[in-house]
Amino acid sequence: MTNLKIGQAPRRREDTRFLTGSGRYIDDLAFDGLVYAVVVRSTHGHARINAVDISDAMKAPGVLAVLTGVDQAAAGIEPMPPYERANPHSGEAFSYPDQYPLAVDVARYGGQPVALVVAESQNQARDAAELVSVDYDAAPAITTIDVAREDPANYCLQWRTGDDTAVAAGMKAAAHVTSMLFHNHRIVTNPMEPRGGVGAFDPDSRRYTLTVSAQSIHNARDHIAVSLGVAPSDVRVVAEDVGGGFGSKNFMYAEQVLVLWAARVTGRQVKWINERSDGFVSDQQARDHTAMAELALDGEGRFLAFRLNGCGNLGAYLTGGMGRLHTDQFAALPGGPYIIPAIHLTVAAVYTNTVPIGVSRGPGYAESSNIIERLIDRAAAEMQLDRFELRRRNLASIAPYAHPMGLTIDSGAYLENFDAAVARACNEFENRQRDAESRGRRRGLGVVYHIKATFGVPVENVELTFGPDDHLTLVTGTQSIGQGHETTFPQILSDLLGVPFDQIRYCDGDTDLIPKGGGHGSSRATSMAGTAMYRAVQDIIAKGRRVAAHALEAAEADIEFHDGRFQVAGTDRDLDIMAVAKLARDAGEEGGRGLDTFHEYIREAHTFPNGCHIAEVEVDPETGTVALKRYTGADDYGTIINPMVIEGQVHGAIAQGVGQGLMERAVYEEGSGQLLSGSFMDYPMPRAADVPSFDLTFNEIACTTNPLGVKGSGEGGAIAGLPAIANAVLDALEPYGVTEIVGPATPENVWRAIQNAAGG
Amino acid sequence: MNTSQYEAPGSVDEAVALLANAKGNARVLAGGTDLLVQIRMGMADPALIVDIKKISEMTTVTAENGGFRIGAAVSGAELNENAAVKSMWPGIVEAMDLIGSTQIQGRCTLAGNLCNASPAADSVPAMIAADMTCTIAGPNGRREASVGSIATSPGKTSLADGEIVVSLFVPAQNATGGDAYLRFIPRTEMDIAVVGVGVNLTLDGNGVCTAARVSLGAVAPTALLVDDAAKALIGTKVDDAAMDNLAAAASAACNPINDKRGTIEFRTKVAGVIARRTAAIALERARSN
Repeated sequence: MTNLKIGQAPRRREDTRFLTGSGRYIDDLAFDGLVYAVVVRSTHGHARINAVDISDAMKAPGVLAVLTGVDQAAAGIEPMPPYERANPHSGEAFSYPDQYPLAVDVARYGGQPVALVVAESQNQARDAAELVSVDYDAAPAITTIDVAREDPANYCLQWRTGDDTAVAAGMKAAAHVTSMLFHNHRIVTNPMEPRGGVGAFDPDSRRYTLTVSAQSIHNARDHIAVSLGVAPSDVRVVAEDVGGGFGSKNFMYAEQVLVLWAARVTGRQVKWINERSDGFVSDQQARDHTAMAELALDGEGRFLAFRLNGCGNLGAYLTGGMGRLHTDQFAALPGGPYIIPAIHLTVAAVYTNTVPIGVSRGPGYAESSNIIERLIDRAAAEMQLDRFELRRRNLASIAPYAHPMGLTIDSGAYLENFDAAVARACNEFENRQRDAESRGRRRGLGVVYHIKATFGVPVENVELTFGPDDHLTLVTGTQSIGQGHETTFPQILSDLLGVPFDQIRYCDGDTDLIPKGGGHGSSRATSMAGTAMYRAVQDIIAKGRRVAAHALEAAEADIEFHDGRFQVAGTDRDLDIMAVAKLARDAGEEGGRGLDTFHEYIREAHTFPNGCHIAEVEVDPETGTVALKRYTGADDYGTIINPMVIEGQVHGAIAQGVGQGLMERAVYEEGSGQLLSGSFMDYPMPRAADVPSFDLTFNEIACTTNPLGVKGSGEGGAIAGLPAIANAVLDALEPYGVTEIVGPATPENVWRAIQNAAGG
Repeated sequence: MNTSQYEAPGSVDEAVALLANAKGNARVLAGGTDLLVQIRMGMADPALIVDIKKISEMTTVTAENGGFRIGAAVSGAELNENAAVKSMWPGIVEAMDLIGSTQIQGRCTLAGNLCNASPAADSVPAMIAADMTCTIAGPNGRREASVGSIATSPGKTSLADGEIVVSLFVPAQNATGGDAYLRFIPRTEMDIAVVGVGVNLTLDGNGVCTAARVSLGAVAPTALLVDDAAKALIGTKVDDAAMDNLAAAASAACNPINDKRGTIEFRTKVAGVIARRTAAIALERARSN
């Protein structure tokens, strides 16, 4: 029965469930009369579909239905709408092909759903799926941005923003201009729990219920409803435990519409669970972005101007909020935390015959941070300046800082964090370098200053209810998919309201429980729901003071609230908040709602989590093997609710970032559009042995634009990891004359870079 | 999977009889770390599975002629805990220990790794370097064969129908001999070798190499015994020049494929690098013996 404070580190209460196998993941849940769906996916990267013959499949044992693209019109199934259909800055409409849940005439990527087979058992559905015969005419597949750009019809958006004139002037005045080409290679996110869902349809109410493994269920509900041709209120989306998402479960998917449609057709509850091999070709992938960037510097290395011409590969369709990703997140903080007076961006995105791109931890910022941080190292080398000093000279040391692209960064201590990280990372580096040298290895350091603006859905709401059993229940429209909200959110309430931690219940993951919800994404949850909670608590205290004043026969102005008690100032007369809640409820206060409070918060400002990350690698030049030996971080995530939870977030984000830097890359075969890295045999992900223990410190510079002072903590390492690894490897290989690593720093890529530099 | 019959005989004769009389495809089950995966993936559908783990001759390690006879069903974990084998042939035990994870180690066997006939099998170059042989039982009785003669191409062996590897024999190590195995993988653990190298060498009292065997895995359809690499060491004090010649000979012997784990060029070059590093460990062990 203890109260918890913000800043304490209780163990995560959800972990008992997760660690004892009691988690309620989608495939663990029991449903009545369940039948099973298997998706038939396009085996071609690009093909005309002449016919889909389902006759054999329909005759197979146990088969209840086989749905195909041509059935959609009669069933009233509409295309799945992108969440953003126009550039929020220019108003210009995005150009995009209709994406029906099932391909109709054309399959635009390998893995695209072509038919759905529903049968009494999983194996019957699998067997019948093999009997669906699709007559394809294979067509050439475009997989790369460069090829896609040759045809204007492939463009989704083209947008120019910033001050072109000022940039031109800066370039002209510069003592040096560094330019570089980039390709931020594509990754597959691969959350541990594959995507899956169970569709149900109630013929009486004509309501659909989707139980799903997904991250942002209110948004999904609204857009699934459009594709089903019904109102959002006719769709309920429920998510219990979700085994990771990292962004790849943010936006809606075809299968989610299909199982609901199948439930209506069969009158049964229909379950689909992706296998890992399905996930590789159907989970939205991430990154895959090219850029040409130029940085202008004066003689002392001060940044004068930055020009960035970027283009994203969207894959085959415009999914979810991807249009906004390019026009908001990617365009929000180009140049990162460095003062650059003139910036101009050309933003573009094109379609290819590859799995649609979505988001993965740090989207937009991962691309833009990689560009500026790699450019700075290149500029330092070209100008023979120290790359640490070059960063110091240009880091913004003022707060608030008005970034030239429009956002105002409220708070931050960049130089302090930078110096702290550098001091720890560089301590005795020369000794380690010499030691490596004596073993025929090369050590290198890669430094990055990451920053992002937390975006995501700009509205959040919470409902706080005092139950008759002395419990406080929080319902939130954010969603915990493993980040620890079940612990940290009650911790916030326990601190603010003085209610014991154990008496606070946490609820999320049901669109019928609360009207709105942004789920989680862009590290928004604690700043958005935290602010809503804080303001709801202020309402509760105000209401409580009125009730307590009446009960204690005192003036409202004399009632103080602290540690969960309403007290008449200067006396020992007080009432516990639970008692006040009961009094309020019994007295029919607030139309019978008593102290129960709903609060909706509309985002007033972004938060700007930031920090300095430094990777130290050891390269074996004979084999190209790169080992990550040390990783140092000095981060500012604002006020920390629970340091243990933050550390976990940062650890995971670093692993994800260095995974892209060291090994992960999704590779397509040009021409056929086949994903060559379609399993864990071909697509490595980092394991415990690939990362060292991290050396992390946190500088709690409170955010000034939200009452808790929090900044989103989920993504820093995923943004910093790739450029930190690349810069470190290039530092290590500097004596060999290696200036670029293309793709992840795999042994072969590194070895080849060394051979190429040697002219071999 | 439609596997119909599972048998766990108590003797080699019974196992051979079962295999000889099998109608349709029969497979031997030791640890099952390859076979069960193949069955689950639909790549194998045996009508009969003969489990050899109930046959005592196949589940024991015994001293023989100064060396060891290792039963075909002895797991990696058991071998790793056998101090005598490990002390005499650390390279073989280390190669075995690289196969899979801790869980796999509890099941996988040297004989299984050999008979699965993967070009990248980790234990095979170490066994070839140690000049190991195996005892094979079949409908026509028993025969001996060198380990290097078992795999004939990826997934194919020289075992006739109904034949089964009963045990492996590793001879006594020379008093001043040492062996080692290293592999190169793109990941840090649990991956398939891009190249694997087994080296076994013997020094005389002056530190001159008098005998050597060098075997390469994953760079050709079967593991190779590279005579030129051995010759590069024999008669030398295994100095830098000899090591350079060893690396060159190892690279020259490679006939790898291009695949996602490595290009021909990379595998060929790295084979030389790993051969040199393996030989350095074997040399160190020989010197300390």
